Amino acid sequence: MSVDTPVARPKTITTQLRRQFVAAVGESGVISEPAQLRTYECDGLTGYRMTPALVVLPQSTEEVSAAVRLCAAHGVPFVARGAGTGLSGGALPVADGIVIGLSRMRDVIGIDPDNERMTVQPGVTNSGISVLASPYGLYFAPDPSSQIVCTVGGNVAENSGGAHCLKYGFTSNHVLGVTLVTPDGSIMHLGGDTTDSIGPDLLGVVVGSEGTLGIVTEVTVRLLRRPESVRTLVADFDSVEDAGQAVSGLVAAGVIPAAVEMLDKLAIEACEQATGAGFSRDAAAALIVELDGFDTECEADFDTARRLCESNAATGIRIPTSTAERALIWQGRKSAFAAMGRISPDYFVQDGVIPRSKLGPVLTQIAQMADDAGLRVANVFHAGDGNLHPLVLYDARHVGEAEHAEELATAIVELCVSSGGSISGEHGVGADKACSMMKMFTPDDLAVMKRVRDAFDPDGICNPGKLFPTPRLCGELPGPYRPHPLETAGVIGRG
Amino acid sequence: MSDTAQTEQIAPHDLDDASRALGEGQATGRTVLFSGADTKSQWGGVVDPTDLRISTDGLNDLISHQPGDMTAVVGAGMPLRTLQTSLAEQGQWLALDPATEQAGATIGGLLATGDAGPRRLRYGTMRDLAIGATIVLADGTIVHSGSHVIKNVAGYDLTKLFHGSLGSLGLIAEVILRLHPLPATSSTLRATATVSEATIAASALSRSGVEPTAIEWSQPGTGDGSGTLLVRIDGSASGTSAGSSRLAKVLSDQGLSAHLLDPDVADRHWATFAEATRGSTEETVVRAGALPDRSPQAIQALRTLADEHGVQAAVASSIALGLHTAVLSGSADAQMEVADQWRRRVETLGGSCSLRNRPAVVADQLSAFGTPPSSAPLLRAVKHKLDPYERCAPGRFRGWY
Ligand SMILES: Cc1cc2nc3c(=O)[nH]c(=O)nc-3n(C[C@H](O)[C@H](O)[C@H](O)COP(=O)(O)OP(=O)(O)OC[C@H]3O[C@@H](n4cnc5c(N)ncnc54)[C@H](O)[C@@H]3O)c2cc1C
Ligand SMILES: Cc1cc2nc3c(=O)[nH]c(=O)nc-3n(C[C@H](O)[C@H](O)[C@H](O)COP(=O)(O)OP(=O)(O)OC[C@H]3O[C@@H](n4cnc5c(N)ncnc54)[C@H](O)[C@@H]3O)c2cc1C
Repeated sequence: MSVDTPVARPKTITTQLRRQFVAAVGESGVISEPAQLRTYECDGLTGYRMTPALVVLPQSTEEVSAAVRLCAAHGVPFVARGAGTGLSGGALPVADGIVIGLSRMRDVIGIDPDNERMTVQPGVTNSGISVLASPYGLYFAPDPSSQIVCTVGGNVAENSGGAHCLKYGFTSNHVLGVTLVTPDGSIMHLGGDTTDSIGPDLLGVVVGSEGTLGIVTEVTVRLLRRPESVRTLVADFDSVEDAGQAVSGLVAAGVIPAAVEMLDKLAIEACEQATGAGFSRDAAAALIVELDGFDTECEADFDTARRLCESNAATGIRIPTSTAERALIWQGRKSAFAAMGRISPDYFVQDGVIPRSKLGPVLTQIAQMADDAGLRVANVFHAGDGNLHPLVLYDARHVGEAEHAEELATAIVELCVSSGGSISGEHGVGADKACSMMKMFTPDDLAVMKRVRDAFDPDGICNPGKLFPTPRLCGELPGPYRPHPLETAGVIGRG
Repeated sequence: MSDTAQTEQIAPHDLDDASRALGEGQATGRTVLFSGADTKSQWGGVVDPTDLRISTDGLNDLISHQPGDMTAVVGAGMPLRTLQTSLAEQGQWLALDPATEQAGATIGGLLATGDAGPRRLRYGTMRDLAIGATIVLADGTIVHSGSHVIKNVAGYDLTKLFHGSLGSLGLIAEVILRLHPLPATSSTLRATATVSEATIAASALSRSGVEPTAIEWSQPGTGDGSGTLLVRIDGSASGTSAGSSRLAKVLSDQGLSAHLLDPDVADRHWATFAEATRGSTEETVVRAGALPDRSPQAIQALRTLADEHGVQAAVASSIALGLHTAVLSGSADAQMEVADQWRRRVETLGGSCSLRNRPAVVADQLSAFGTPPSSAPLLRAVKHKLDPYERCAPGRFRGWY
């Protein structure tokens, strides 16, 4: 999957243009030393690399706008970058393009505890927001596992979420407004003070658009009250199917947990080796169920959850008795990806979603596919919303095994789509899954998304080559090009 | 308004029908208005007369319901109340309680208008509940967005683009919905409060640890400044019972005396509340939104303007969210003055207003949407890409796009 790493020839950035960027953002905000540029050549998906021609680090909306205007005037493609933790190559630079890094934009513009909201620049980290909000008993609900480092700008671009999405929703449900620098350098506000904004919801389109519609330079987030009570349990099962049944049981009982996470045997093994969080190595699957809310309600739901795990063949239930013990369970879960290194030299992290009711059959099928491929697949995932993260384990020292593992990872995500789900629940499409978009959407669906993109970015300079399948990434599109009848009639066009 | 003798009416029965009907009109530039139950087709900007009216009456099936996944796929023409009846058989519901439900509001119309009711405090609007949609554009293109799973970040969220589009971007044909369990019980507290008291109380209630499902305040057109505060909590029997005691205590700490209502009485109060947002054909309905803590200023401004112009102004507010629906009655000219000036006032508070039902004279003279937002050029560009000949609901966002 790795793409060649040609040394970018910054032919687009003349000395004169570089000087203009310096005028826009200051000398200290422009990076052009080749060695320093390499820091920006990839994001968390390190298989794809491309050295940018230039990196600029603006400090204000106006500086972002000035940099983008220069790009627009000179036809230079640009890519926004937050912390670079993205796992789909969304912040991968474009050859001969620039990276606009938002890491210096970390100001808090305003905290408004009375109205339960906060406005920050995009480089503030996800958990940084909650830290700032905590003196008021408030927090920012979206909780990607990368929350200590990833930026809220990146969260907006990826519509990030974490274990607590099931009850609390995604970034999209918690962003009230943004300031957007559009690809021609204009500054505009989407959403804002009013709960109901009038007219088509452009904000809803920008959230999750993976940096392809403009650069977000201010974000107003909704803050929530910390729940009064939190109760957590870990239930062990003899099979992933039993664990899946328990999850269905919870849903049928009308309980909406704050989080339901599942680990299979391999994942438990890796977590235990890495963290000693106390998961039972004898179990074939473990569920972490967390409930929160008003104390009486939380207690009632917790009893129901415990009962349902028992009646769905749980072989053991552990209820942490201290905050520390509960934190260790979550630490175990959140470090699961990193822990895989303990049981396999290499692995791919996949991210697909299936309807929750198909958990049992799909997991069985994944196990079968792994057997057929002669590879191991560990599963650790958000069971409540069907967001799977199969980890395909392999050993790169064995010739051909990486390719084999990658094929399996792709087959798994396509299984998710054919089961009625999605190719991504949280990592995004980026450069990584652009080709798989054709598995999920028809050419017409993609063409209409492209029309929306063209409305924002007619010249295609804002993070090009991401999200949409391109011949470069996917080989030629299947089938001959067939113009729409209205295209032939000159009524509509494709850009 | 838009129904002239020339308006052809059709009700497609499936996606292909709808696609054909729309696509065929593209070459000739026939304009089109989409309608659901037609309960509020005149709300928002006045639509110019159109050549074609496409009703979603024939697109009214419950296409699928997956109780285990808590999702359903429905035709846009399905009335919400019909949907709720079928979902209830499995102990589920679409967590939406708009005032227009009884009038037959449809799922497509609800997504197109962004309408919601009091319980939006807890569950949000169709923006949060619609996880996918199938849309037919003016050129007949059928587009799918989203999917059957709640967690999905693949592609642009076109479903949200259609939220609030008021029929101006294309026909919403099918919607994929996220469902919730029907709450086992529901309790409602009632107190008498001024808008300032209600605003402070709403904030205290939200800090109480209990998660109320709705906090609403209403006031009749004339009166001494006090209104009615209704607070609802949904959940298990033990949860609502303990929760409502706690909420009553919070209210009494604020100097308000709260009464737990009998279920029947509570239902009647909520129905009256819904009724209060409707307005008659002689009245102007204005919807305003601003930051929650600006509610007292917004309402005070309305009262002052209403007094000055001899207009009665009944208000129903989602007070914890800063959303207010005012129903103005009196002479049409005076209603217009009040609506216009109140909008300016709300805009200076950082909020916005749109007009709903209003007499024809008001509709003719007062723009429905006020000052265009800074994003208007972007909205215009999106409209142009999706409906280049401006066939859908021509005139609806005039001044904006
Ligand atoms: C260990 C690990 C765990 C993770 N766990 C989760 C998880 O649980 N849930 C989850 O959802 N994700 C997870 N991620 C993925 C990633 O952390 C998120 O997508 C995160 O939101 C990216 O933020 P970032 O600041 O690092 O963005 P980057 O990686 O820098 O950028 C991501 C995308 O956003 C765009 N972008 C960045 N800033 C802006 C801006 N201001 N305006 C416009 N576009 C912008 C970029 O162009 C790019 O397309 C994980 C990643 C890692 C490495
Ligand atoms: C600006 C505005 C804001 C509103 N806000 C609220 C509110 O906050 N609270 C409240 O109680 N009521 C509100 N309403 C009223 C409420 O939304 C409607 O009564 C109800 O949702 C309409 O349902 P209906 O099926 O009767 O649609 P109709 O009255 O038939 O149509 C309403 C609008 O939606 C369009 N439309 C209908 N179906 C489709 C479709 N399938 N595809 C595309 N467009 C379609 C129509 O063209 C029209 O613009 C609002 C209405 C408007 C116009």
